[in-house]
Parts: sequence; C-alpha cells; structure tokens
Amino acid sequence: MEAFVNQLPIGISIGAVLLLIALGLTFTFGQMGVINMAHGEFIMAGAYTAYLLQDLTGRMAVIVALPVAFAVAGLMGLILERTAIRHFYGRPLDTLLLTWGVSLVLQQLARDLFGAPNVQVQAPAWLQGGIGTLPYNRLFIFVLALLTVAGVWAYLNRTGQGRRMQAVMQNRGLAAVSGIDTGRVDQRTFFIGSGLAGVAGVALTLIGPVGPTLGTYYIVDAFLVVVAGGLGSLLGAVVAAAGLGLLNSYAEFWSDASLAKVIVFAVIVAFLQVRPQGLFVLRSRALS
Amino acid sequence: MNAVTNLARLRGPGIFAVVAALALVVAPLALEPFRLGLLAKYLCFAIVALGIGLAWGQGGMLTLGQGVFFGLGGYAMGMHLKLVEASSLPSSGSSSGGGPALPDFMVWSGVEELPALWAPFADPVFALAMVVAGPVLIATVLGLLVFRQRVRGAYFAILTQALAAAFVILLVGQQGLTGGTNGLTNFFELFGRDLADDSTQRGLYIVVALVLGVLYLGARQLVNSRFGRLLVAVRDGEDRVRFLGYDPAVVKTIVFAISAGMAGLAGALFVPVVGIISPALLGVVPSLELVVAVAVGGRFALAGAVLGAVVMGYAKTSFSEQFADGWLYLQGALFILVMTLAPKGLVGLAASAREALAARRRPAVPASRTVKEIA
Amino acid sequence: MSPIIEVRGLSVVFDGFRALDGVDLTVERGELRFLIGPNGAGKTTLIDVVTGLTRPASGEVLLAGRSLTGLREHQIVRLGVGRTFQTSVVFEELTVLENLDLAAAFRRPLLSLARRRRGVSETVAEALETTGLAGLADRPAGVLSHGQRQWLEIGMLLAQRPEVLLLDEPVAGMSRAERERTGELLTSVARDRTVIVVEHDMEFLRRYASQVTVLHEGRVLAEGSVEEVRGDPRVQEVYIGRRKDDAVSAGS
Repeated sequence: MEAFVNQLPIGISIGAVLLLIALGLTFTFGQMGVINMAHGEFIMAGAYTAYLLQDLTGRMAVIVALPVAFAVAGLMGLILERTAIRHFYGRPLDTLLLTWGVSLVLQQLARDLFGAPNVQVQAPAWLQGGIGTLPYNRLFIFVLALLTVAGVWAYLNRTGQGRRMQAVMQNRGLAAVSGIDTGRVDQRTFFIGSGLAGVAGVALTLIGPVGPTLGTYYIVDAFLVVVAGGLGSLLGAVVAAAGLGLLNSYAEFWSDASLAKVIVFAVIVAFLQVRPQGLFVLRSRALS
Repeated sequence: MNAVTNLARLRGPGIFAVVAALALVVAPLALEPFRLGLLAKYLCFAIVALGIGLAWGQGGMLTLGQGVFFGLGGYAMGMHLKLVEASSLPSSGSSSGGGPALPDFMVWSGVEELPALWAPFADPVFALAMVVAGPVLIATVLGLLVFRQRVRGAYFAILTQALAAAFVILLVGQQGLTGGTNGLTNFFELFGRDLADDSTQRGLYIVVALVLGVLYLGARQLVNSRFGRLLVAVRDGEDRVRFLGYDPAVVKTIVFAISAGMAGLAGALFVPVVGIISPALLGVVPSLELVVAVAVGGRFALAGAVLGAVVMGYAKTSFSEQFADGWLYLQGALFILVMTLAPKGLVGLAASAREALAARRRPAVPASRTVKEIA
Repeated sequence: MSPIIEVRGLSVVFDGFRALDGVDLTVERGELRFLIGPNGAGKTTLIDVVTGLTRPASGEVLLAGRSLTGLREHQIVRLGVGRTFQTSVVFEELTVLENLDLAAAFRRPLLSLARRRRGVSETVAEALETTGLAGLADRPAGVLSHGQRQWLEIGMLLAQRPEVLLLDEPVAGMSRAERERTGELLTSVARDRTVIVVEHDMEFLRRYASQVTVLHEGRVLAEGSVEEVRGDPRVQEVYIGRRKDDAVSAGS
C-alpha cells in the first residue's frame, strides 16, 4: 500500500509531462494529419531555453522560461510549418519522415551549440522539499499541466480562434468554404502545439538533466497518448496521458524498468482491440 | 518497333544479371577484405530494406520497427555462436561445472546457470529456425491484432516505433540474458570456420549476396503476382478491398510477416559478418534510418529499396570516417531534400530522366533509340 | 423457400441520430428493387448495414434465411452479396483488366494468388464485354472517365458473380446516353440475379423499376409498383414538401 502511494506522484507527474507534450501532437495530428517527429526537439529547445536563462535570472529561470520557451518552441514550429510541412498536407507518412530529418539536424545542432554532455538547470529553492511523499517539483508539474489544459480548453471553446480551429479539425473542406482561412489556423495550431512542447521541456528540467536527445525519451510515449486518446480530443489526451503515466510508473515498480515498456506496449495493443480509434472519437459514416 | 519492346522487356533481367555478376564475381576479386566486409554489411541492410520496400512501398505499411526483427534474428544467431564457443573453451566457460558452459559475458555479470531461454539455441537447426520463425511469429501476432482492428497508417507507424523502443529497453535491462548495452560480441567461429579468416569472410559475403538475390527475385515474383496486385489494392483502398471479398488484415499480415522474416534473416547474417549484435544497432534510430534509405532509393520499386540501403550505408561509412558529426546534418538534409523534391527517390529520378531523354529524342530522330539500344 | 433478403426491425443510431428506425424489408429472389426517398431517408445506411459496413443498434438482416449479424464485410461478400458505392472507388494504379481480375479471383485459395495471372478468365472476359471496356483493358483505371469508372465498378461486381447486387446511385452524374446503357445493363443483370438499387433519378426509376420501396426519415413509407407508389398521397407529400426537382409526380 505504501509503495502504491509512493508511486502515485511519480506516475501522475509522468502523465502530466506526457500530457503537455501530447497536447501539441494531438492537435497538429488531429487537425493537419501531420506526425511531427521534431516535436521532441521542441521539448529539448524549451529545456535549453531554461538553461540559458539561468545566467540571467539565476534560480528563477524555470519560471521566467515558461513563457519564453513557449515562444521559442512555438516559433520553431511555425518556421517548420511554413518552410516544409505545408507542402506535405495529406501525406502524413511523408511528414513523419521529413520531420524526422529535421529532428536529426536539430539534435546535432544542440550538440554543437551546447555540447554533448547533459547540463543541469537549478530549480528554485522553494520547489525543493515536499509534502510527505509528494515532492514540490512534481506537484508543480502537475499544477502546470492542469493550468495548461484549462487554458487550452478555454482557448478552444471560448475564443473565436479556438472555434475556428475546431471547425478545421472536424471538416477542413467545409471550414474553408465557410470563409475560414485554414492556412492561418494551421499556422496558429502549429505555433501553439509546438509552444506547449517548449513548456513541457521547461517542466522536464525540474526532474532531470538536459541533453540533446532529451526529446527522444518522451516522444514515443507521447505519440502513444495520441493513439490511445483519439485524434484531436482534449479529454482523450488527458485521460490517456494520466493512464499511460500511471501505467508506466506502476509497471516499472512491479516488474522492472526494462519490462515496463513492453508491458505498456502490450496494454496499448490490448486496448486497441476494444477501442481501435482511441478513447474518444466522433462516430462518422464516411468511408475513410 | 517489336525489337524495342522486346529489348525493353529484357532490360530488367539484363540489369539484374549485370548487377549479380558484379556482386558475385567482380566484387570478391576486386575489393580488399575490409571493403568487402563493409559491402556485406550493406547487403545485410539491403535485405531489411527489401522487406520495408514490400511492406511500405507496395503495401503502404510504414513499419518503423524493423530493427526489432533484425535484432531477433541477430540475437538468435549470436546466442548460438556464443554457446558453441563457450562449449569449445571449457576452461573459461562454466565456473560451477556440471551444467552446460556459460558464455563469457554471463560469467562476468555473475550468472551461474545457463538460462532456460538460451539452452535450445545450442542446436544449430533450432537457432537457424528461430532466426526466421521468431520475427515471423511476432509480426503475425501483432499484425493480426492490429490490422483486424483497422489500425493503420500513422497509427501503425507509431505502434511499431513504440515496439522498437520497448525492445531496446528490454535488451539493455536484461543484462545477464542479453549482454545489456554491449550486446553479444567476440565471435570466433561459424560452423567450425575461423571468422577472422579472409576466406571465411569472402564466403560469408557470397552467401549474403546470394540470399539477397534470391529474396529479391522472390519478392519480385510476389509483387507481379495476383497477390501483389491485391497488395497494391489494399494499399490504395483497403476499405474497398473488403467489398471484393478479401480480408485486408490477412493480406497485410502476410506481407508484414514476410518483411519481418527478411529482417530476421538479415540480422542473422549480420552477426558473423560484422561480429556484433547490440541494442544500438536495432532501436528507433537504426529502424528509421533504413526506412530513410528505402525512401532515398525509391520506395515504389524493390530495386530502389536495395539501392537505397547500399548507397546510404556507403555514404554513412565514408562521411563519418571524415567528419563524424557532419553525417547527421548531411543525413537530415539529404532526407529533407529527397522527401521534398524527389518523393520517388533515386529510381524515380532515373525513370523521369530516361523519359525526358526519350521524349527529347523521339520526335527528332525516331530511329536513334532503337539503334542505340541494339548497340 | 425463404426470401433472398429479409430485413427485420432494423435500427441504426449515429451519435443519437436515428438513421434507421425499425425498417422491415423483404426482397424475393430475382427481383429488381428500387429504394427511393429524400436525402437523409436512410437508403445508403440500409445498404451499409446489409453489407456489414455499419452495425445496427437492433434488428437483423437475413440472407436466404441466414443471419448476417456480426459478419465482417468480406465474409458477407463471400456469401454472395456485392455492392457499389456512391462515389465509385476503383484501383487507379491497376489496369482495368487487373481490377476485374481481382474482383473475380476472391474465391481462389490464397496460395494460388501467389502465381502470376496468365490470360483472361472467362468471367473477366464476360465482364469486359458486358461493360464495353474491352478496348481499355490494359489502361490504368485512373485514366477512365466518370461514367467508365461506374461501369468498371459494375463490371467488378459482375465479375464477383454475387447472388445479390446492391447499387448505390449507379447513374448519378452520368450523361443521358450513359444512363441508358446502365439501365439496359441493369435489366439484363437482373434476369438471373437479385438487384437492389438506390436511386434519386426519377426518370430512370420510371423506365426501369418494377418494385419500389420508399424510405422517409429512417422508416418505410410505402412499397409497391411504380404506379402505386406514385399515387400514394403520403409519398407525394414527402416529395413535394421538400424539393420540386425530386418530386415523383413532377413528370406525370
């Protein structure tokens, strides 16, 4: 029982990080059919942003970095969308490979700029310690994820931009003929989705070191969240991220770290037997 | 006119014969042992690429986890070689005596008894059978589960990638069983022959080239058969195929299993050729690299897949020899360029160049093409 | 002897919307049955359920007395039910001949498919002949015109040799001449098979239909000969209340 309680915050914070990463993916994937393998490198960019800000702001770097990393990663996403991805709409598998090439280049760039060894970002003093078994840094990540989800929800449902984004996601052609500039919406989606990856990167500096391959550790699991949650579904992403985070941490605890991923994989395949299209999908009669 | 069409029909087999002669006769004579070994390695990758060409190019299944099958084949072979070696060197083998001899790395990591998983691999027939059967079995089970539920496209790609990631973590974690990060290495002999010997390596090269040739011909036969047409139909309209009375899940599973079996075979050949099998050779990145190679060569033609694997393998070796870090930039950039400008790869470029050339010549001097091709 | 197709109490729900609501339908062997009704009446949904594309919320479909519930699409095809789609789907990279050949080959054992096709089977030759596509046999299906694609689809259906054919708006978007050819094709096909056609085109209906079932808002509104259905005041109301150009009585 004690072990169960101890694992809980770890599982939830893994889930929170996965959620921050997967939110961006589920929208770019759901809306544009783009599988962005460079998303992991936007995470890395966010983490390095916090690292660089350290020189200026000292231990407040993590807080200051949140908005800055959002903008940095968002801009990188926007550039990627404008220069490359927009030529690939409707060819999801090709974007996967294209963005993988981009991700290779970005990783090597990070190695050349910051060196191959990992670097450390100092967390603010008030994030050290915790309540009982719950460390403050994990609590912080959890709250950050909650706030982000609330923000995304409000954006989608309470702003005109957000509603247009949903419209494009559900029916691109119809949205276009209704006078929505789908190109702009795509750019915005990509900016926000990539920006969220930057935020996730900052959060990751609280629980581990930063290196050029930081993103690669999380990107596969984040994609699994998208698959299990259902395309473009906010609620699906939340539930799937929480589930996957907890599953990861308990599988690791009850078997060992090396078997955990195999167990997670098996659970996902089993889950797809029941819900092949993920948790939440609109039932449609179109022959895809 | 008839001569032209006949010649055009002969062009494929003609190129195949020339390439086969180059690979089987000229290369072993002309290349020094080190280079021949490298070529053998590229040809192993080409076998994996052939499978990717079938599954992805023909069948539309983007598999990002071929490293898993490559690894299963490689480890099956590696385990067998390790066991043979351990039993031939009784002094350094089992420390406790009595039971079967232990491979060196197990002794180092304090394993005292040969794990039950290892024991049957002492039998060469079992090991060789597992090289193909293991990957085929796993691909079949996964394929049936996933394809029957109509999980496809990007979803399938993501799943296979997750499988590759999980497999590597498993291999690294089970140190005592798999050799961990180091994998299996220090192989000295293969079926009684000294692996360090040049003639053994040359023989191995020829075996690899022959296997690739035979698999290529088999894959071509498959592509040109009714089943191959069905596969293309499944790729372009899976839902429509159901209404022709076929189960696309079965078609896809068969092809996925074939590609997995090819990767397994390639892994098994890779082990004696290169002398190591380790997690770093079969994770997410190496799996993707081979997909990239297929895309560069031309995914819609089997020959493109093979060509791409050899070209990219060669490029990787020669560039990382000179500027190690530059390779990642180059690979990334090359890849972005190919995907953007030439989605059909080198083979596609060659085909459009040939067409452009023919179109320029035909109206002006209609006979010249015929003359040239006969000459 | 049981009827070839029997639909009992069929209901389909899409996210709360009842696309079909307790539909009963009986089609006898050898019939040429037309399904008509305004947009959203549930015609295509009915076909989708019969062919296994859509799972019903309740009710069942019997093929010659055998329930099709729970069968997958390809299994239903193998029992002898074939269909076409509103927007014709053919395999553009394959030639016309290869499209037809695949349609004809599904009864062969899987292993025999690993051999190359040699020559043209009788079934395929017949389908080429009937659809008038023999001249285009070796062209990729991607180059066909809209009408030719529809015929290729019908040809593929014929090559399957099903007992029951379900056609979803086979003449939509066709020219007058093409429609006429299609109509003749249907009549000749229906001689030894059961054909169910969803069609909007009223002129086409008048010329070729014998038995008509009218669907409206997921229910069967009327059933009978063309004359009977045209005279039915409920049918007139449904059509005139909606769109003039769809009206059954417009031409009479």
